[in-house]
Formats: sequence, structure tokens, C-alpha cells
Amino acid sequence: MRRLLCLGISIAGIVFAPWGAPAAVSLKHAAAEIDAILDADRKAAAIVRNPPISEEVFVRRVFLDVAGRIPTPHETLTYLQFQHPDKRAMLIETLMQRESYTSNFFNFWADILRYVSWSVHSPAGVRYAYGKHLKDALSTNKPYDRFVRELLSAKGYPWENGAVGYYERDHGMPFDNMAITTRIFLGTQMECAQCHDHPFDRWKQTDFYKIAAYTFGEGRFDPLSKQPHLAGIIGRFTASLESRDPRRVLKLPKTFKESDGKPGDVILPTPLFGPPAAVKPGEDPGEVFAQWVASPQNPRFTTVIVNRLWKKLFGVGVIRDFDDLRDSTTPMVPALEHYLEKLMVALGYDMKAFLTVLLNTQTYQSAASAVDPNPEAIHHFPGPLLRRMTAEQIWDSLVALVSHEPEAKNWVNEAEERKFHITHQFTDLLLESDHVQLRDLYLNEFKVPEWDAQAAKAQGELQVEQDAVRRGSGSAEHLAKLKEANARAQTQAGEASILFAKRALEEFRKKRGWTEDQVVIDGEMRPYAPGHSHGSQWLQRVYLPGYGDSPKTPEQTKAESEAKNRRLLEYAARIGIAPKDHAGFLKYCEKLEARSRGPWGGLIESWYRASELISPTPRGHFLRVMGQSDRTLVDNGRQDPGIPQAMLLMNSDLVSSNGLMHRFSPLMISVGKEQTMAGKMDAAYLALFSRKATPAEHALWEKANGQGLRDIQDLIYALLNTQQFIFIQ
Amino acid sequence: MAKTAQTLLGVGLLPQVFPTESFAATQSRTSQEGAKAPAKNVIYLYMAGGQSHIDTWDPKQGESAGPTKPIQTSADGIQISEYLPRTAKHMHLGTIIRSMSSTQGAHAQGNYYMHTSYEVRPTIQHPSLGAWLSHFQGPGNPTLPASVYVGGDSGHPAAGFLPAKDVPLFVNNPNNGLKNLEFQKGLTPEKHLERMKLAFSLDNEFHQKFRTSGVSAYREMYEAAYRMMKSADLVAFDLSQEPAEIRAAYGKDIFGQGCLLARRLVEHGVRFVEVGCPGWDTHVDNFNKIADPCRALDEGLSALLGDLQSRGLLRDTLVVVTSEFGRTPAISNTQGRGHHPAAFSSVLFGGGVRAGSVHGATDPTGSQVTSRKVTIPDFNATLAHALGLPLQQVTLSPSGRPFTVAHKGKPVTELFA
Repeated sequence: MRRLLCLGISIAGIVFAPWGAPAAVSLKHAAAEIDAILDADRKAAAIVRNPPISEEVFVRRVFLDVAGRIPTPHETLTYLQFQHPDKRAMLIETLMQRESYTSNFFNFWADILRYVSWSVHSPAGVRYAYGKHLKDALSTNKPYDRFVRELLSAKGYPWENGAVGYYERDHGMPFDNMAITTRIFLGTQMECAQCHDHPFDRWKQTDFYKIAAYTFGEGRFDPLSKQPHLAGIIGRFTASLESRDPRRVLKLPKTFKESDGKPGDVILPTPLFGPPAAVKPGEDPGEVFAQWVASPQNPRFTTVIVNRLWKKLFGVGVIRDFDDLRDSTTPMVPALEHYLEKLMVALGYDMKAFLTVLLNTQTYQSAASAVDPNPEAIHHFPGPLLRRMTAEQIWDSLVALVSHEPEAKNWVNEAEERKFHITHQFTDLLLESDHVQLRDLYLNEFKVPEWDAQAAKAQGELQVEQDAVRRGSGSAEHLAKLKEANARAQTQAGEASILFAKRALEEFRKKRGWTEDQVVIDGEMRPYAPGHSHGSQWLQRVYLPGYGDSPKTPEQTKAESEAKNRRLLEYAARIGIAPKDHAGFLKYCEKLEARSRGPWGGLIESWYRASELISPTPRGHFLRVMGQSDRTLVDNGRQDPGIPQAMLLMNSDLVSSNGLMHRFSPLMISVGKEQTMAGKMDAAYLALFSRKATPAEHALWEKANGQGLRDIQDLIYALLNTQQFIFIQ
Repeated sequence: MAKTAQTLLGVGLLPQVFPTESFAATQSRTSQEGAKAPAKNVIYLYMAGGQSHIDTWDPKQGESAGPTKPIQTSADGIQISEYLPRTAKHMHLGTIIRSMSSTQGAHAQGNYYMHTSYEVRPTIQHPSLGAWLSHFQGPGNPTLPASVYVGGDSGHPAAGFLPAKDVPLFVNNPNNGLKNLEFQKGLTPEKHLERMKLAFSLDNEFHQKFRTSGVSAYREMYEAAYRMMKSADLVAFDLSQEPAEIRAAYGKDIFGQGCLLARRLVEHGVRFVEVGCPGWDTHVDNFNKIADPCRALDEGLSALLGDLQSRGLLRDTLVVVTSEFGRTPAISNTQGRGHHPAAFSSVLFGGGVRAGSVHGATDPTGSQVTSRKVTIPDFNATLAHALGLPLQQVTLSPSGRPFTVAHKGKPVTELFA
């Protein structure tokens, strides 16, 4: 069904949902209230609101802001042709219900939370669990206060609570994590105060320690760490518990030099501002902290989120530096700030409802400002600022021009999900085993370490001889013998490791009371791999009940692939692709999902939306060239130009028949349906700018025809290299 | 140049897009004291993974040496390890610092510290030295990037909080030249130009409507990209211009070819080039494993030094060899060496450094620094001093936090002649 949606079938009947306002608040009234406040403010400042925008500008802008990409020609036309006095509100509501909202706002939060989907320091699958937690929170529209509380108070294993990823992200750096927390949720920058009193703000180093004391002692605890021989067979596939050691208390550091304390002083958790938040006996300080942060009573919590979301749509916050609030901070339009905070609380921190209100204001639906705002002066919001698309918005827009299933899920993430289940089942296996018995089996029955040592020795001898041969002093005959001996030793060690793993699994099976049939082993191992990892690799093929789906049978895989091809072919026939081209069309669609080095030089993970790719993408990927955050710092995505961007857009194969202008791309198919050059030009404009070309633009193109530009490809190349394409009007 | 591009693209351009300062005029730079800076250029060779100082620049006798033997060099009384026979012939041109000491014992942290003089912080990213150079002195050649990084390390701190113009250009494989620099296959320069003229003309109305700095910066970006594509100096990136015997002399590794690319870039006015040399993390089988990176380093470095010298470039070009940390004197039961930040070596050649000397020393096992300790900030301050960068000048990050080049390190000025 999802794929059908992506193919655009049901889009024809965009479900124009009814106005979904939460009970107590009329969203329409709220939007009008914001306009009234801003109208009064502008009047006082002798400024007028920018002119209203056309439906064409609106549809492109609102798609980018909510769905994270430009609309397809079909979506644009459906909207433009739809007749209803309230159709803007209806489109907003429709887009809010789509999965694209999750994808778009996942990118937004990934930048703020510095979400990294993979790390060598993190057990396999744990980051996946965190990413899934974030996506689920957006998809179910979890209230923001609850969302934050869950991140800040998360405890347990990743499968119990994916939110533990928030602390796990900064494992070993609890102070830095705290500085990030106060910045992103409370707009309070404490970094300086980690090491000394803040030079420009009122924070003392002791203030930092007081707030850090709430989460001090939290971290990863590994109940298996005392059983290294067990963890050894599983490699990276055990997760630790996010927990708190109550015995640890925070003391001022040896280097403490300020006057309001001395090194070694014990610091008790104390809030920075707002209501008291004492930790009563038996309470978890992290929980108390989370309650204090994510509360309407916290004077900065609501301020930050309303500004963050306002800035996302209008380009600048009502408070410019909302992530560096001071006692002296004054909002540019105080009445608006006051109203937005009141509204957010009344909406119960419902982010979708809040965004819906902003999108329905006349102010949002006004022309973008034509000049830079004066950064020193008060901004009165005559309309949104002209914004360059984020890297993700550009990429996702290109995905929609290139892929017939632009909302498809990346199969690579299924592999990550599987790793997550492996980690879960291995951790449980080890936690529930009889460790004395396992240790005995490991050392004495299967003699894993002994075989390992022999394998390591054989490997060493082989390497020494290989080096000797390279230098010209060794013997080829001796080398051959050592190779053989090494292969034998490795196999033996591998087998010992597997036998032990099998036995450990067998004990676990009996303990859980599963039948032998319930334990599925997917495929056989190649009989050669060095040492320990062999048993671990074997165990990775094990599927246990309750730990994710069973492996697909070859028949299932085949049936799925056939069903997909059938669907694509039906679609191909419907959009008028000639039968002789069907095989080529299938091949084209298949290639879009392949993970490969793209012909345009950078690593292209494949044509899935940014939220479906690894985070961050590797340097050199289109997303990074266009400014995707490298996830080292909060809000680190960039929208400024750089020469590699121009090189990529002008000279790579991206804007050629090997990329966006492949004859089977949705872009070229919609252009190809038109018979006349003028029709093709309008189709290209519709696909890229959500409007038809003006007579003046037609004239410019005709003039260019006289300069040797005759193909529609010439025009599309030019359009993709304009600023209109990458800016949100 | 400016005029040509203007007519080519058929649009009015801001004059500052085309700096009138000539390449030659940017050549002489002075340090903050007003004295002439010792070096114009830096070629920074980074030994990724933690280079074993004992098996390279600080050879020892006895147990900690393992099977590694010292050899004589062209500098009187200075020995280095047998793994670097070609470099030994150039030691009279350089200074070994045997008293390097870091506080960071993990790769990512040590690497970051060495590149920035600051510890890793999730709240800020600090600039690397090439970015500081770009920030304070601009590009050496306005048609080329201010600094270039050759190698595969995706964790490089790049320009940190400095703007995009200070970001080094990253080249993964020197053999492939620059990415996306040539016109698309089958697209003639003339046709490309017509397409871009069309793009500009179709976009003119948008530009007239939206007079923001962001929009105009994008048009300038296309102009700058076009200028770079047309630059006569772009040939610097094309190693196929070099005679086969020169290419062979540098060694066929990516590192060796990177050294050759560095020389070409410096010749064309790029003032800071870093080349990464991987393979030094020898936890297991150190004495065999180290042969490969040593050979790559030995070939690339010796060819580079010989080449720079014969072209008269070594006087102005400081060649740096460094790493995140050294490796333990103790040899593990798998014949490996662990991470050892307490003491290790870096080497400087050319660029006005005292020739044929050693600075500082370690104890007989190579475990601790015994004299003239050089911290990471000190080391970076020394390089910054060589380039005439203002060590005291405070630069505010966008969030208003104050930072300096080399984080208050003291330059070791006695290293310079």
C-alpha cells in the first residue's frame, strides 16, 4: 500500500482531511491571533506585511517545509486544480499526516541531537534503536515535553528503551552531554562554565557542577564485564545497560580555582533557575532533572521550542539567539513570544498542531523577504525569510525527480534492525546462562583459548616467512607448508569456537523451553575464518523466537521481488512506457536502490531519502557537499555556498542522462509526454518550480535556441543550476 | 581574467569576486613581530595511527628496540632506524624533535588534538592549521584552494568553526586529480557556457527580486568555480604531467603520489598541503607490519625532499612529519606495540629550520621525555610561527567563544636557524 501511495495513485485523490484541531484550541483562531499580534506590531513599526503568495509558490513552500521535498508535477497539478476555499489548510493537514513529515523532521532533529547512526564504540544495532525511537516519536507525534523527558531520563537496555541513545551518544563525556542538554532544551550555554566561571554570562563553575550532579554517575553498565571470556565470543554483539551508580557523588575538581568552593567539595543536584527540584530519598536524580527541564514551569523550556519551530518556518526566531538566552534577552516581538509560549502549553506541546497554526498564518503565506534583515535591528516578520533549502531538502527533491518510489524504505536499514535483534538475543543468552558451566565448557571441553593460541602462533610464523620471502631470503617450499599449517590451525580454532557457541545456544534453548524447530539457522558458514569471531559469526545466523522476524525463505524473497516488478510494470504501463522499454525500466528502478559509488564521483548510498541513509553520510556524498551536518556539533548543517557544490551541479553526471536526466526518470518521463518544445518547457518548470514558465522565460529559451541550445536537456541543466531551484521562495 | 569571465557569463559581477591581487603579490608574508616569516609553505605529512618513534626517528638499544637497528645518516652523530634508509641521506636538511608529548592516547582524540591544539569537545569544532592560514592570510593563489588535504581521513577537523571559504579541499586519491573539474563528457566548453548563460538569464528575474546575500553568494560561487575550472594552475592537480621516472621515485603508494601532488600544489601557490600516511597502528606484529608504512614514508619523503631542494623550494617550504602519538617501548606477546602519547618524535625539514640537528631526548627505553619537552600546542605554535600567523590574536567563534591558533602554545624558536 505504501508503495502504491508512492507511485502516486492515491495522490490523485489526496485525502483532504477535515480540520484536525485538538479539542480545546481552535487552530484557525490561533493563526488569526498571531497575525493580529504581528499586524499591530508592524503597524507600530510602520512596516507592511509582504504581499500574499500565489498557489504555486505556496504549494512548493509548504511541501518543502512539511514533507521536506518539492512536490511532484502530479501533486502540484492536483492541488492547483482542486477547488475549495479552505484548500491551503487542507493541504497542510494532509501533509502533516504523511510519513514525509517524519522523514523531514527526523533530519531536523538529527542535526540538533547530533544523531550518528553508526559508531565503532557502540554495540551493533544500538544506534539503530535510537534512530527508530526518534522516528517513532515524530510519527506518533509524541508531545515535545514527553519526548524530552524520555530522552533525559532513559534507563535500561536499548531494546527496552531506544531513548538511551541520547546519553549513549556522548558516552564517557557526561559533562559535555550536560552542556548540550542545557543548550538544546533550555537555550542555556554552560560550556564555558565546565572549566571556569562563564566570562559573559552569570554562570559560575559551581552552577555547572550543581546541574551536572543530577546525571552524574549515569553511564553504561555491563553486567557481563566480569565474564570476558563469554563476551569474547560475541564480539560487538552485546549491549550495556544505561543506569546510574548511586554511590558516585560529584566533587569539585582538583583544578577548581574559583572563590565559591574548594577542590573536593561534594556538590548536590540543584537547578539553575525556575522551580526547586530537590531529589527526595528514593528518587532517581535523572528523573527529577528530566521533570524539571521539560515542564511549562521551567522558564526557558517552552521559549526554546517555540523559537526553534518558528525559525524552521520563518528563517529567524522571535528571539534570535534562542540557544543562548541571558537574563537580558528580549524577544523582538514580546507579545508574539508570550502568545506562542501560551499556545504551546495550551496545545500540550503538540508539535504538529503548533506547526499547523504557524503554517496557516497570513504571515507565513506572504512573500519571502527580498532583502537580508538587519541582524542588529528588530525584525517584524513581514513574511518568511528567503531560505536556501537544507542539504536534505535538496537531496530529497532530487530523489523525487529520479525515483518512482521516493518514499521507499532503504533495505540497508533492515540489516541494521537485524543487528539490533542479534545484540538483544546474545545479551540475553549470556545474561541467562550458567556462567560457571559455560566457563568450564569454554576452557576445558572445547579448549577455545588453546586452539586460538595455536592459530595465532601459526599465523605469526606464516607472516614472518612471508616477509622473508618478500625480502628474498625465505623458502617458497617452507612458505607453502606454513600456509597449510596455518589454514589447518585456523579451521580448528574456528570449529572449537563454533562448537562452544552451539553448546551455549543449546543451553539457552533448553532454558527458554523452545523446541529445536523454533531455533532457525539461516545458511551455513564458510568453513574458514580466524579464531573467536567464528563462533560469533555462526551465532549471527541464529534466529530465535521473539527477536525479530524469521529469515525470508528464497521463495518469499522471490515472490516479493516478483510482486514488486509486477507493480512497477503496471505503473509503467499506466504512465505510458512502451512495452519494449519495460525491461529497461525495471533495470532503471533496480539500479536506484543499489548501493554503489555513483558516477558523479561521490559515494552515493543509493537514491533513498536522506532520513533513510546513514547519518551523517560520508564526506564527498552529495548531502555533505551541500552542507549536511557532520553531526559533531548542535545544529551544524550549513546553507552557504562552496565551490565543490558548483562543480557537482555543473560537471558531475548528476545532471546528465546518467542521473536526473535518464530517460526513465520521473522528470524526463513527464517532460517526454509533451509534444511541443513549449510544452516540454512548461513540464520542466512544473517539475522543478511547481509552475509553468512565463512568456518572458519562453522568449529567453527561444533566444537560446538560436545559440545552439536545442535540447530540453540543455534547459533542464540550466534550471538545475539556478538559485530559484535551491531557494525556498 | 576578470574581464574574460565577465563577458563569458554575460552578467555583471561584483568586483571583489575577482581579486586584483596577483599571485606574485601574495607571496611575501610577514610574521606578527614584523620580521620575515621563516616559511611560506607547509607540507604536512601525517602518520595516521600512531607512529612508532623507536622504529623510526628515535632508535634505541636493548630490549625496547626489538630487532630494529639504527643506521647512520647524512647528519653527523644522528641515527635513525634501518627502516628509513633513503631518508637517512637527507637528515642533514632537518631537525628531529624527540621530545614530543601528547595528553591524548586514543586515535580520534589524539589526531584531533594534534591537528587543532584543542581537545575534542562536542560543543565546538576547532580549525586545523591550514584553515587558520587561510583565515589570516587568504589563499596563496586566488584561483586555487587555500589548503588541500590528500588522504582518506573523514574525521579531519577541516576549518572547524571558520567559514566555508577556509575549508581545505579534500582529495581522496591523488592519482585521480580533482573531482568534477572537467566538463561533462560530450559537453563542449562552448555549449556548457551557453547553458550557464541561459541559467543566469532565466534566473535574472529571481535575482532582481531577491537581493539577499545568500542568493548573490551563489552566483559568485558559480563564478569562482568557473574561474577555477579556467585556471591555468589547475594543471597542478594532474600528476600525469610528471615524467614517469619522477612518479616512480615517489613510490606508487597513494602517500608517495600525494607527496608529489603536494610539491606541484606548492609550486602553484597552494601554501598548506597535508598528506596522510596510514598504517602505523601496529598493535600486532609491529616489526613486520611497520615495513610497509616505513617504505611508503621513506620513498615519498626522500623523493619530496630531493625534488624540493633541486627546485629551490625547500628554503621556503617547511616539511613536517608528525603523528598523534608514539608507541610503547614494551613489546607485547603478539610482537606489537601499544599507544604511547608520553613521548614520541616529529621531524621538520627545510622552511628555515636548523639543519642536521636533534631537539630534546627520551630516556634509554624511549618511554619518557628527558629534556626540552614539546607539547602539542607548542609544536603547532612552532609551525604557526614559521608561517607568520598571529599566535596571540583572539578569534571569536560564531557563538562568541574566544580561540587562538595553537591554543597558547609557545613556539620553539630555537628550531629555526
